Amino acid sequence: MELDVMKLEDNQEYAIIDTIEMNNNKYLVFSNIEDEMKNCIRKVITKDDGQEYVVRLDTEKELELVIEKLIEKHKGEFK
Amino acid sequence: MNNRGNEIDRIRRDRMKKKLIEQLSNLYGTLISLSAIEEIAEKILRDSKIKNKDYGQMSENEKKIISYYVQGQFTKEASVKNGQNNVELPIATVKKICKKSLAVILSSLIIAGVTFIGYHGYISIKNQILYGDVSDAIVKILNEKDTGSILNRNSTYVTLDEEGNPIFDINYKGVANDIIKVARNGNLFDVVIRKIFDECIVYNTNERLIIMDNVIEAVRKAVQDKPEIPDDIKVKVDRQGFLYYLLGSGYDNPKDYDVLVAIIHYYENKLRYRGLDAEDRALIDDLLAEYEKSKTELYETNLDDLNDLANDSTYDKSSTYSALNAYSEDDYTLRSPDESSTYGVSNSYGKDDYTLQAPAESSTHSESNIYSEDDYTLQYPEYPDESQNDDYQMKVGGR
Repeated sequence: MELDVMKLEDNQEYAIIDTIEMNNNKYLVFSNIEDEMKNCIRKVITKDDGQEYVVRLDTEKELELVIEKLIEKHKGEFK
Repeated sequence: MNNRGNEIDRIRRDRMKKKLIEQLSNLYGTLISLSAIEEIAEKILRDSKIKNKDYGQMSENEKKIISYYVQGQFTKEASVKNGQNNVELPIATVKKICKKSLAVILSSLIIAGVTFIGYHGYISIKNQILYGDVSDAIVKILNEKDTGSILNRNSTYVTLDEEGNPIFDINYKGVANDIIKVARNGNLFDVVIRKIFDECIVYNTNERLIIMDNVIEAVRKAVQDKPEIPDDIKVKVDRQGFLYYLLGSGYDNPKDYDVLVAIIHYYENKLRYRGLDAEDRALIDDLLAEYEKSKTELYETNLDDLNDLANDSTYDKSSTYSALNAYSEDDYTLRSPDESSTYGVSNSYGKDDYTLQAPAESSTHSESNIYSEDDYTLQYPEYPDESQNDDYQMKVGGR
């Protein structure tokens, strides 16, 4: 399976390494290609033109909830 | 892409995911620790028998509570004790608890007589809080209180009367006395705690920094009209860009000063350097900017390291303000964040809502909610009014 890569607003390449579904939204977890310790989360939205866009999260709370969800998802893998 | 390419991508993605999970695991551990701290800190505060007791007079159970801190077992113990309930707390709840626990810990320390009045009326809290476990500080306080040594060691400021009440040094009148008054009637506590409640949201190691930032700022504001700063403060910049302040009046032994004192005087310096010329001001501003960037690392530095630095033969203790001009790139090399440092996530957005703390080495991340090992900060984006301008069309390409 190929590595899905896209440039984000800092003009750096990020690979999609995880997805989260929450409240009928889809979130992507990115890892920086050059620095794999750098992760970020973006939301996928569909605009009027029918195209999917990756946007930043709306609020701090939303980010927290996604991180919580991520923790929940991977808790079993924690050492 | 051929099979080999796919395999390489798969391995790479797995590695990235593994690192993500490591980060999440660290965050998770932090949250557990915070809830455990809250429980134990509340216990300490709630149980007046503990707070009024010398460590030697504690029951085994009471000692055990303290030992959770000391032995670093509180996470495990608390989570077991509470049937994992703690670990299920939502992040938002944990943040509230964290703030509360800080208040509890601080109030515990204050009740225990830990506060003492520092130079020219600034409050200081034992450096153990900054350096190590809060537990160490508590145990040390409880242990040493029976001899009074912990306070007498800094008897310039505070001693205990027969009943264990703090007596403040009458030599520090004026500003100090103002602080003493509010400290005695509890208002200082209120000031500090309110400040923390209002503006400080903390996680893991950076909490120390944020605590002190807020404590110092709260107290400084309380005395801002009376910045009585001695004339004999001398300043030195060490090779890591750390501002060392060598104080006169018996405070010139490097072993006597600590990061906290330096930080306090760092703030004081903002007042003090008003008299400097433009060049000096610019230099100090640069140093302070660098200092801000190196805060996290500074807090990782232990006292021994600082003392080693201070005892370094190249460390000119006689330097005065003019020594700032001796600053050069060679002796002001900031270390890069240690890749092996404990990953931590710190939310400082309580004070600067959604204002990003750009990574020290890359400001280009400043518009992303990127958290990384380098940053030690969970960074939240600034949310522009028109947030969709920089949306990125979902065109995910293969590599």
